Amino acid sequence: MSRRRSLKVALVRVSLLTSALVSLTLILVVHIVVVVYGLPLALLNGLSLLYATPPLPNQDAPVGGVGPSLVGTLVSSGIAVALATPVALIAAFTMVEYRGRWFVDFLRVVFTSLYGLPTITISVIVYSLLVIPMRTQSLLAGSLSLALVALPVEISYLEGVFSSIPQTYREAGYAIGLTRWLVLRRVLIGIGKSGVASTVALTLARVMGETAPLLFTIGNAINTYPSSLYSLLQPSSTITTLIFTLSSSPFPSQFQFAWAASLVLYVVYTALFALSRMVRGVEL
Amino acid sequence: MRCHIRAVDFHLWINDVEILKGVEFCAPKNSISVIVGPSGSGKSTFLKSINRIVELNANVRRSGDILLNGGSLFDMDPVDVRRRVAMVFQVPNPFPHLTIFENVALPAKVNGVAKDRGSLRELVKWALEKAMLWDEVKDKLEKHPHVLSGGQKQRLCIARALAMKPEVLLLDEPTANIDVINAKKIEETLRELKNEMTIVMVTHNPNQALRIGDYVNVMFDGKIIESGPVGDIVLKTRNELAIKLLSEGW
Repeated sequence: MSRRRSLKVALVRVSLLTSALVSLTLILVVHIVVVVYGLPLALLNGLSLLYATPPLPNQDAPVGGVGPSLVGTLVSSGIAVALATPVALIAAFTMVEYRGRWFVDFLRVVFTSLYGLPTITISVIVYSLLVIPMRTQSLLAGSLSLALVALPVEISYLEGVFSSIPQTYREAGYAIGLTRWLVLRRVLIGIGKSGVASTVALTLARVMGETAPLLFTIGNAINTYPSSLYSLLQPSSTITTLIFTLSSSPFPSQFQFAWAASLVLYVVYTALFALSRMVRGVEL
Repeated sequence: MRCHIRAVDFHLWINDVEILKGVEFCAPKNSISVIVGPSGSGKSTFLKSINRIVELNANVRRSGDILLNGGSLFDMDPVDVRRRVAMVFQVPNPFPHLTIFENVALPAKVNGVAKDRGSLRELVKWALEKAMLWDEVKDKLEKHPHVLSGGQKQRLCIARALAMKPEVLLLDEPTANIDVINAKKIEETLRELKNEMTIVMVTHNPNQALRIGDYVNVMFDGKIIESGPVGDIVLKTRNELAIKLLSEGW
């Protein structure tokens, strides 16, 4: 190897290493900051952090919990992913199955534009279509907003999952008399189950972290637990909207409590991420 | 001669490229019809046309007809066609997420061949025995197919196809990627199976075609250039290209 070439290789290696280290440092800083600011508050509040209501403005200490918002987060994200996943599975299957057909190109344009749409716009759309007619913000409206965010994300992941399954298994499915629906259900989802599970978990984590789609839709009921089916039609909150509310509060105890809420979100996200890595793939 | 499968002036285009150029073909009932020819001659595409798998590709056009028991395949529901005309592929493709038992049971369940658990177990055993695999896998039915060798996987695919109780079995170079011992087992299996169904097999290997086939069809450039009972093909053919292809290979 010439000296000039060795120098080039060394330069590329150093720049790659530097980029990796910078990215890793930034990620670590985010993790450390959330833990450093959030952990003392978590220790102060103990388990009540998970079920109590947030501190009131007149409280001196940041004592309370994220209970109603945690339930709101789990319910709204759960509904969103439950609504988006079947549609995404069918859409991704269609895009793989009919690749090369004109309507697949059309679908791809539609989903890509939905993917790129600022999420606050989705909030405004759902506000116009659902909140105004219902005359109230609600858990349902928030869930639908999140479903619209989840849909293109899931389609994009699932298309990758299905495309990576060799064509020969699909052909084998058809050759034994399976319909398209059964090829999707019994062959593609079966072989790609680890990819599908990762997709669901990552999408759940992604929508749990969304704030903008909820700003006009879910409301700000940070002290009320969703307690029945009827609660779906009433205002609620999520941990992200709670953080948004608390971080804009002029009261120090509330502002400080935003870190505790961030820590809860961080732990839930990390747990979901870890779960997504635990599903074993199929040996081909 | 009564044809179980018959192609009449069958043309097929994929992305406006003509792959099959007027195929005339007849597979008599309860026989092994072998299609033999060089790579790119359209053998596999023709086989995939018989169970309409080829239509899964984008931009497929056809003219002419393929008849199953005298009725056009293209007037039937493709899923029904595939339930009557099973196919085994060149590369063994058992479903990796299902156990050996489930691989064979799935087509039987989906096609309603077995009504209850007991008859399903019987059917799976029957199919594995027919594919000469039962003795090798009877103790690992709940294992996944990655524990099997290439040849065993291919025989599992044959068992999977048989579990549908098809009228016609299509095989696309089923012994191309496996060892001689497994290839011989598959040939034996096919000889036995022809009493119960019509078999159409594609092969690259002229010797195998003459050894196993009752009828031989030589395919070249999208057409069948010679066809007939194996004895006639060996002794009577005057088609120089067919003689050259069968004697020298490709």
